[in-house]
Amino acid sequence: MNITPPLNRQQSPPAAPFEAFEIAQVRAHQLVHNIPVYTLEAGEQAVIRIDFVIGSGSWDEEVRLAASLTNRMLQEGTRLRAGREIAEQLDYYGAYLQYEAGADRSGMSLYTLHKHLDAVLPTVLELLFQPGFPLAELETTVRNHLQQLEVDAQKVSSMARRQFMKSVFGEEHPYGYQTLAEDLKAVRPDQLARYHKRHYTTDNLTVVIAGWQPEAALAHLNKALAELSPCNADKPIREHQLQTAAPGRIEVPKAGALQHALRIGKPMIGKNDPDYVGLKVLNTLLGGYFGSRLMSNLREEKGYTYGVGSAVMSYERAAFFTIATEVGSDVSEAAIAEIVKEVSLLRAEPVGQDELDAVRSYLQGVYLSNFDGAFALADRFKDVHFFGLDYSYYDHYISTVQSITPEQLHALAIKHLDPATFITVRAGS
Amino acid sequence: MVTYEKHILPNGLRVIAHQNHTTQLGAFNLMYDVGARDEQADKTGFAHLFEHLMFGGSANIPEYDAVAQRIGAENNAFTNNDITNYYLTFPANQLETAFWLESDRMLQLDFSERSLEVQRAVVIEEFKQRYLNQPYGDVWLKLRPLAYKKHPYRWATIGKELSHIENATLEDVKAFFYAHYRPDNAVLCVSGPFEPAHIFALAEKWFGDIPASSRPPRRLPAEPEQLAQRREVVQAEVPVDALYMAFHMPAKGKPGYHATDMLTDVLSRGKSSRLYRRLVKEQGLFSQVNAYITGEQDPGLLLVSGQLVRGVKMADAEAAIWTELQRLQNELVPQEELQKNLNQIEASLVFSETQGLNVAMNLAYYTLQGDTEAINSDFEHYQVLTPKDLQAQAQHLFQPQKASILEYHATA
Repeated sequence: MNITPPLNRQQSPPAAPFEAFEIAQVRAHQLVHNIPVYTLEAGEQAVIRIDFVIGSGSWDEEVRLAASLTNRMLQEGTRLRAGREIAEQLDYYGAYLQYEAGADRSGMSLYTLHKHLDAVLPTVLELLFQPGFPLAELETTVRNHLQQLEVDAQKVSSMARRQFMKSVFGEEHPYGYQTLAEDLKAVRPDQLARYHKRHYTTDNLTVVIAGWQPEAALAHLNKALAELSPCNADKPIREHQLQTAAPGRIEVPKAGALQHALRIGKPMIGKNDPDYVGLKVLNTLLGGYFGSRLMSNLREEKGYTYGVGSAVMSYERAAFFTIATEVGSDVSEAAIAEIVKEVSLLRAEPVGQDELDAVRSYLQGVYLSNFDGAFALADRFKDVHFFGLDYSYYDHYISTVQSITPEQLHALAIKHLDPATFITVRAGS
Repeated sequence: MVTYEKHILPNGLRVIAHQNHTTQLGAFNLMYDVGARDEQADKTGFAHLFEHLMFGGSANIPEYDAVAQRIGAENNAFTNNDITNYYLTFPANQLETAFWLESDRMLQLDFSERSLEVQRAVVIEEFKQRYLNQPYGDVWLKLRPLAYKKHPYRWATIGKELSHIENATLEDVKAFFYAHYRPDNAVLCVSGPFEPAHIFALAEKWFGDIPASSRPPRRLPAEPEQLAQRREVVQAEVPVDALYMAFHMPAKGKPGYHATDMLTDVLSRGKSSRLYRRLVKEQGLFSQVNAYITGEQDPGLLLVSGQLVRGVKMADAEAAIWTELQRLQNELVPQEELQKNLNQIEASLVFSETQGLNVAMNLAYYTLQGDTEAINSDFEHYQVLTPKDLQAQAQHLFQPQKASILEYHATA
C-alpha cells in the first residue's frame, strides 16, 4: 500500500476494488453416537464457543411454550444437582451460557476460555441432557417472565411487533404466536420433561465448535458425550397453516404514547427461493442501511424519526418482509404515506445506476465483515446448513450483489412489494 | 496481551496502531475528549446533538455516509458524559479513505442551518423513543440530579429537557466545534493488518495540518461529599415497582475503583451471584436485580437496581438490599468467591480482545485517560485485591447517608 502524494482533500483516495476472498469453511466430524460436529478454527485468543443445536423448536411443541420453557429451565437444576450448584461451577470458570429457543431450533451456546473446557463440558452436557425441571424454580421463572411480559406490553414497539407477527403468520402459527400470560401460567414440569425427552436426543443434536484449536475440544467433547446413552427423537411431523390477515391497517391503542410504532409488511419468499438474494439487495436500497431511501427521507430529510429500517427475514419454512420505525405521533400518518410512496417508487421506475452501485459497494464491504472471526464464520455456516443449503449460497449471494441490474430490481419490486398487499400496524395514541 | 505502537503528532493528536493480521478488516476509532460534562447547565444535550451534526457534511465531503458506504464501511458514533467516539470498520484496502473522511470533518465541519434543524428534530425523536416513551425510560433523568448537585454529571447525555435541544443555535455549534474538535483533544486508534509506520505516515499526511486548539484545561466543580441520604418517590404508569440505589464511587482507574467494580461482580455477576441467588431465587423479592458502575472519568456512581415482584413492599425490598450491602461490610468475601470473580473478569477480557474494533476503542479510551498500557495492566489491579480490600471499600461506599434512592411506584 502506497501513500498517495500530494494531499488533495477535494479528491477521495483512489477507490480500492472489492477483493474476493476465500471463506474459511467448517470441517465435518462425527463423534460417538453419530453426532455430527463441525469445527471452525480462527483467531489467536484462546477462546472457544460450542453451539449445541437441537433440531426442534416451538414448531414441534404440543403444549404452548414447551419449547422455550424447556430451554429456559435447563439452567435451573438437573436430576443430580441444584441449579445453584451448577451456576457456581460455571461462573467459577468464567464460562458463559447463552440459551436460544426459536420456532425451528433450540439450543445452547457455551463461551469459555479454552483452558477450562475440560472442567465445564461435563456440566454443560448434564444441563442439556439431564434437566430436573424443579417445580419451585419453574414457578419463579414463570412469575418473573410474566412481569417482563407486562413491562414489554407498555412499549409501543413491542405492541406493534406482536400484532404484526400475529397478523402476518396467524396467532396459532409457531411463527406468529406471541407469548400469552395464561399459556405461561398453565405450563407444568411434566410437560417440559416430555418435550425434553422427545427432542433433546443424541440423534437430534448438531454441534458447532468455533475458535482457537477447536479440534482439541473434540477430544474433550467425545469423552463427555460417551458418558451419555444414545437416544432417539420422537418427533412426529407437524404441519401448521399460515393464517395471514387481510391487508390493511390495524390500530393498537396505547393512551398517552408520545410516539407511534409502525410495522408494515407481509409474508415473503424465503432463503431457498431464487428471488431471495435479489430481494435482499432491493431491501438494502429501500431501508437496509443508513443511506437507504427510507432513512434519507424519514430521518435525514424530514426528521420524523430517530431511525427506520426494513428487512427480509427467513425462518426455515416461511419468511416475512417488514418496515419498522417509531415516529412522533403527530407525523405518523405522514410517515406512513412517505413509506408507501418510497415503495411505490421502486415499482414505478428502475433505480439509478449510481444508487445501485453505492448499495453494491456497501454490501460487498459488509460481506467481508460478515465473515470476520471464528464466531461470525460459524454463524454463516449455520445460516446455510440449517436451511438445507451449502457454501455455494454465498457464491450466488456475492455474484448477485455484483451483477444484479436496475431492471431486475424493478421486476422484483413489482412482483413482491405491492403496498396494496401490506399489513400496516400502528401502535400508540 | 495487546501489543501496539504509539506516536504523537506535533499538533497533539495521539495515534495508536494495533497491528492484527488475523483479520481483513480495518477498524478506525477516533475519540474526542468531550462529553456532556463539558456542557453549560442551560445548554445540555449539546455534545450528543453535535455528534449527529458530525454526519452532516464537511469542507470537502458533502455527504459523510455516502462516502463511507461506498467503501463498504460500517460506521457509527456515541456520546456519553465523558467522551464522544466515532468509529468505522471497512475492508482493509480502503484504509486511506477512512483517514480522508475523519480528517476532513476534524478540519472543518460544514455548518448548515438545514442540518441543524433536521438533527434537532431527530434528536427530539430519539429523546422520546429512548427516554420518555419507555417504561422506566426516564430513570437516569431523575437519578442524576438526585445523586449530583454540583458536578455536570447531574444531567444525562441526552440533555435535561427537550427545550435545550430545541434552542440550540448555529453559533453554539461553531463555538463547540472549535473548542473541542481539535487534534490535541483527540485520540486516534487504528486496528487491522497494517504496519504501524504506515498508520503514522497516513496520520501525518491527513491530520498533520490541522491546527491545535486553545481549549483551556477542564475545570469542573467537584461534587461535594454527600452528608445526608436523598430519596425521591415517583409514581408512574409502569406495571411493577422498581428501586434504584446510587452510591458515589471513585473515578475510573483511581484507588478504590477496581475494588468497587469487583464488589458489583460479587453482588450481581452471573446466576451464582449474591443478589440473584438470595433476592431473586431464595427470597423472591425481585424479578430482576443488578449492581453495576457507571465507570466514569470523574467520580461516578455504583448502582443497585431491581424490579420488585408484585406484592412486595418497597421498604422490604430495600431492606433486603441493605442487608446484602452490610454483609459485605461485616464479613470477608471468601477467597474462592473472589477467585470466581477474577476468572469471570479474565474471561471477558480475553473475549473482548477477539474483536478489532473493541481493542481499538479500549486502546483509545485508556490513552485518553493518560495510560495506554493500562489495557494490559488493568487486570493486575483486580488480581491483587484481597477480601480485606473489598470489605474496606464496602464500608467506605455503602453508608446510608451517602445513598441516593429512587423509588419508582407503579400506578398501573
